[in-house]
Amino acid sequence: MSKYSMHLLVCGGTGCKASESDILTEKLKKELAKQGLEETVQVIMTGCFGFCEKGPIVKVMPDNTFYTQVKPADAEEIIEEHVIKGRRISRLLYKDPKSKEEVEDSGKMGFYKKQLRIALRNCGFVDPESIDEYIARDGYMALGKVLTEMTPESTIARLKDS
Amino acid sequence: MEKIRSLADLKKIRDEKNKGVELRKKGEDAEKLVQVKVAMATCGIASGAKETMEFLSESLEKRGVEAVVTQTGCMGYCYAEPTIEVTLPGKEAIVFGNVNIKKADEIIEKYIKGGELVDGIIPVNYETIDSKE
Repeated sequence: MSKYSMHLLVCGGTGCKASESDILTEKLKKELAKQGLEETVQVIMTGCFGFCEKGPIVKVMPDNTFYTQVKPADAEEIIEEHVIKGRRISRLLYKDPKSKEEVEDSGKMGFYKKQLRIALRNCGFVDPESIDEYIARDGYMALGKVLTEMTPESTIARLKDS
Repeated sequence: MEKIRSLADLKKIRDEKNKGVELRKKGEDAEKLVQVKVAMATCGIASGAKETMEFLSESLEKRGVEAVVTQTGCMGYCYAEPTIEVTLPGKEAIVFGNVNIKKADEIIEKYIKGGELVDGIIPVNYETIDSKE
């Protein structure tokens, strides 16, 4: 069983990677190792968060902090301030374009508030290279159900109804 | 990886691997769960906040309480470390002081599970930007 008490989700989408998010991931891992926290904090490279204009994105879970335009040079501060001392780094938080206020929680961002993700619900949530994480989020469940519990006729009927 | 031969196999893998992503899922709907913040500044750590935090996250999971345990900075009550803030869904946050493992156990059993207040509450004497909204 993993003992991770914090997850750092780093965006690995095209836009963020072009802005050095893979170097950032390596630096975060290195800083964690330096502090002896590699067993406590997990760094995961996820799929696109859909907010490329503000990339690279780093999301801290479970406190749901959303950092934007994070540079590899910010890795040390994130580990020392946020991970160890529990203080959010305000200069990296998203600022609401209208009110100019800092938004700590991505759930409160106008951009995400109006979205209901269906096919892309796992994007920016799981590690796309881990099949285990996909299965943990009900991956292949529909296929399993069709093959074991449904008949060809009922499957076609369901598709037509949807 | 083993081959999946039935729906039951698939469900078994799903349930086993769920632990790995659970923390992220909880973070997304933290407001519906019990939220525990452990003050983890120098004063807290020196007084055993790390042990308290580990105990809290392990025990809450073992006792089947859906909770998010996070760390926070110094709450300013250095005389009463370790301090923790507990928010039950839909209720005001309550700060407890001098939370060693014994106290943490009492807080889980009495306050978190039963809603019954226990000794050691620190009256809140500050405001946050959130509470002013």
